[in-house]
Amino acid sequence: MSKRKTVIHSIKRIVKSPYMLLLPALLFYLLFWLLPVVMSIFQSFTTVDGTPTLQNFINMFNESRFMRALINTLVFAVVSLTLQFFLAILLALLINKKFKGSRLFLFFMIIPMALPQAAVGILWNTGLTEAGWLNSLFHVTGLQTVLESLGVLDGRTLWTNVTGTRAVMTIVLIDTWTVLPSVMIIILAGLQNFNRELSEAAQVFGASRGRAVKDIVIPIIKPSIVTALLLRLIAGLQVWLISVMIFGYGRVPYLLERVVYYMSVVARTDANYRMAVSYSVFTLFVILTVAFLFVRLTSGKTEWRKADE
Amino acid sequence: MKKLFTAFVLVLGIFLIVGCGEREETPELVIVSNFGSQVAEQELYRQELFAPFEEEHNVEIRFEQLGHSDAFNKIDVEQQTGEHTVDLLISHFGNMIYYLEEDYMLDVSQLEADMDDRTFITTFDANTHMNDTRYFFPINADVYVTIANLDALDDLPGDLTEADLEAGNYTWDDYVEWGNNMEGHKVFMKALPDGQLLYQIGGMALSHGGTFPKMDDAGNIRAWEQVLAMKDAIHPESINNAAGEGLLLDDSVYLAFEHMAVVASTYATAPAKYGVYPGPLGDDGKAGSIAGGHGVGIVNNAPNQELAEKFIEFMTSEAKIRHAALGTIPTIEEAELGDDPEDFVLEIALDTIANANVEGLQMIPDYSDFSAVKGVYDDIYEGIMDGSIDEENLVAKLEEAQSDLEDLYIGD
Amino acid sequence: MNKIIRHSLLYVLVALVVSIVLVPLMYLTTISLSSNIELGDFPKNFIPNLTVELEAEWDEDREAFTIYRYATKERRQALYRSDNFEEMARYFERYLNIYTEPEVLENDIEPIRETDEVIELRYRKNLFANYQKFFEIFSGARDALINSILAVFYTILLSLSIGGAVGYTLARTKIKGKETIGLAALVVRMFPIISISVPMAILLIRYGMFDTMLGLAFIYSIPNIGLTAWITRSIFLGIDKELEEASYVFGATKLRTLRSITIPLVIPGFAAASMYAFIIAWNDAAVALLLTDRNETLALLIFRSIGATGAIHYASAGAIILIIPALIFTFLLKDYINRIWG
Repeated sequence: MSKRKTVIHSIKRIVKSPYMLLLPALLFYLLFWLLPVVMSIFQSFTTVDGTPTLQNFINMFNESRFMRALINTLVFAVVSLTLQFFLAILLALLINKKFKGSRLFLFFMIIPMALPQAAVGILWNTGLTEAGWLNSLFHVTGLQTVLESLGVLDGRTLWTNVTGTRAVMTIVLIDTWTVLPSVMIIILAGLQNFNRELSEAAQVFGASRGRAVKDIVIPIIKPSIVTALLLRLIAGLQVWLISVMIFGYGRVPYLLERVVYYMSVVARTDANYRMAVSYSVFTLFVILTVAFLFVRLTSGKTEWRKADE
Repeated sequence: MKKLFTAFVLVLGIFLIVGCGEREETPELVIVSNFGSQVAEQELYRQELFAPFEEEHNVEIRFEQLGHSDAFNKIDVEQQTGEHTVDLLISHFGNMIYYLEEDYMLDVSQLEADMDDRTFITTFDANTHMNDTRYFFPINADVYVTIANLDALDDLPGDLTEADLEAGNYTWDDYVEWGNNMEGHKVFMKALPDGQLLYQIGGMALSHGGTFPKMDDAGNIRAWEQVLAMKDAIHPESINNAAGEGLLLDDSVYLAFEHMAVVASTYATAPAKYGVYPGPLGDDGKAGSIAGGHGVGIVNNAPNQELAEKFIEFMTSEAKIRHAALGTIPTIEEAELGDDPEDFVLEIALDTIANANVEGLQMIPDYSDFSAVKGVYDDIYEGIMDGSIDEENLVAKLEEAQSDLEDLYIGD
Repeated sequence: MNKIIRHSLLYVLVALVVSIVLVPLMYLTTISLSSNIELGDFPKNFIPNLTVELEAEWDEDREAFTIYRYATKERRQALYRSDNFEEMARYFERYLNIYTEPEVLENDIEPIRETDEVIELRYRKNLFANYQKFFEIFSGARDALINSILAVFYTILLSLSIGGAVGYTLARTKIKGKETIGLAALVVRMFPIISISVPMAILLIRYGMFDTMLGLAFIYSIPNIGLTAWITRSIFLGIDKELEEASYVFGATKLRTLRSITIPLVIPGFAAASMYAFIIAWNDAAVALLLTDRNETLALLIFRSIGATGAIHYASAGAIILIIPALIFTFLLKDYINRIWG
């Protein structure tokens, strides 16, 4: 009798234990996250019948577009991050004032980031053709005439007539259009919070504005910036969709573009699936490595600064 | 924050209402098709075929336009898992073999016997039949023709006139010179990678007495030399476009040797703006064209087999087959022609198929990977455009490419 | 003086930045309202045309009326030639977005038959024709819209229930390893979900969820559960426990306390978490491309529509339909903006 009671009691205790609330999450991540990750790593190192092999990765390294895909991905991530970060800081410093309509301004700045990537693809697809809106804009604003008389342009620009790194840069610019405004408002928000402290500090120490920015502002707003940059970096390494919408598959390869290519463009054969899995595991590896390096690099500097103090 | 939540619920609610409004349960006839990739074509299908059929049989037609590999994967998955949704398959002649080898299609000999009011052309029987049994009905055949913006007529070389063009009395050399006479890059090439460049080159080569697919016979070398000769006239955005329609529409290009379906839908947007002509003559004294086309068949275990049969009967009837063919050549002898702008293109195409050097695409299964065959053509084109292939090394490059092509050959 | 200059420079800069953001969107909107023929114009209109101006002339040789349009002010372009007004009306509707009766055309144009008069015509354009045609021509568009809504709905349900439970546990109970769990939530938040979509395709087939919106929602929930846990944790921490206790003291039942004290305080956090879920599920085309077959989402349909040449105006209309809800939800979220970054 009492034994049964203790059994019931302990069941009750287990059911009522706070850990039970974590169980669904645990199950979820086991089934939908850990399992696929482990599975893809396993599959990338085995053949179809399960014997271990490195052949999948050898095939991947030998794939004609592998090197370009890797280089393009890294170039895109690094260049877009750097460009967006510095442009955003520059703009934020220039605009760092309270002005009439600043709320409305912030409102507009959020728009590009809210746009679904597929829509951004359509937007720039209509823009970059020879008779597209970008050339139209150049034309109606007179910019075309100015640039032509300076000898910079000769007739309408063929924006998509680019290959290699220049094609990557085209996508970097589109990405910058999408992301820059919101990077800027984050920095702006940080700046305006600390504006008063900045000017006080600058007055006290008699420092130049540039020095004050470097020594005071950046360290203060750094933590939130670092997280944001990390997220941007990870997102940058996942570029492919807009590029495919502008240039199509294969012309400007990226790592994930290759994954999608082997998963959904070519026939679904075992060989193609192994190729997709290998690319996908490799992409994951690249993302984790770069993210790790980034965290080490930034937190390392922070420690160094502390030690200096 | 409260406002926030209310707004959120409101927006979601509105979308649910808009989205789920009037969803009723009618049977759904699912057509998977390699054909009709252009929006204008789908519009035509809806208007001329689907809407009247839906009304008559109280059914909803779902038309899914997919590339070959997507279409095959889809039917492959369904046949293997037994979860059948697709009723009808419209496949390119060259791809039918893949379905027939797997035994995914229904024997439609009986249906053919029942439809005794029509005679299907026999040009593509090698594709539509297996072991003398019919699995597909041809619904269209297509060739390549020339389309030009009428403004370009001012640049015609020598004493060529529009009448010459209309009579098909001009050569590929004239075409090249014409393109080079135009200011800017006004010629379209079907150059999207993994696309249809090889069919355009193939058509040129056939007109010179060459064969297809082949890189280094006299006719093909001639064709590539002519591409090289008009290199500067080719619009660079050709490489981003599967078809010339968009570029012709915004006057970026003025001249294209294009698939007749594209020509028809472009021509229809502004019939007074464009001229459509038979393809240019080659060294053989004839025009040349690759001919393709599509057929419709019923998938094994189709959920609505009876409706599917009725639909085939409807779409291949003498009144409807020209719509099914989407401005390309209808495939029953009894077909009615109309007098829409598109039908004008059709007359030129009929003329081409009767008089030109025409070659079908029955060789596709002879190659291990036809998109790799396309790649061989793409590489030569890219080389020409980036300057790495010129008059000096063209033949050598073509010979190299020929051996690549032969590596892909698995036929006998 | 100096100050004035600096001030106006500031406004110039702000105006420049704003227009860099807004001008492309304005062009996209205008293109989505353009007819097939207007697509060929250069320069492209910045502001949509509300009317279409044409000219008609009798063509002796061909015995038909020729319809002209000014592509630019100087360049008159012949578009169409016919003397059948039914066909002409069909042409006007399909390629010029003019919805009019054949009789109207006949009234306007017939008088110049066999004369050499040129007549100017002016018709109202059906501004939203592409939006109607988008749903007619892309026959899967309506289903895709419903699918997107379903995917969003499931993602919200999954994230709120599973993530909310984690958040509550972290805030209100004494368990071990809170920091590890918090860190794990952050890691999954940053995890690139598309790279697990490849094996996921096979797993979902096994689970019977391939090509279903529920299957997609499971993937979208991977980052979102972690995020929801973070948000709800801070919300639960913020609710004063003593307030709830006070409520008991005054004799309120547990239910009443929950209803009148806890829930109103929790709702904003849940709303915010839902909106993140919305944005992830609504905006994604990549995962959907790999994990669906027949059941497209709207974003995927728009992604795929790019291949259909000569249809960019329909695709633009679709893009605008896709953009509007995404914009609304982002604005509702703007206070949290730096957390959804990436």
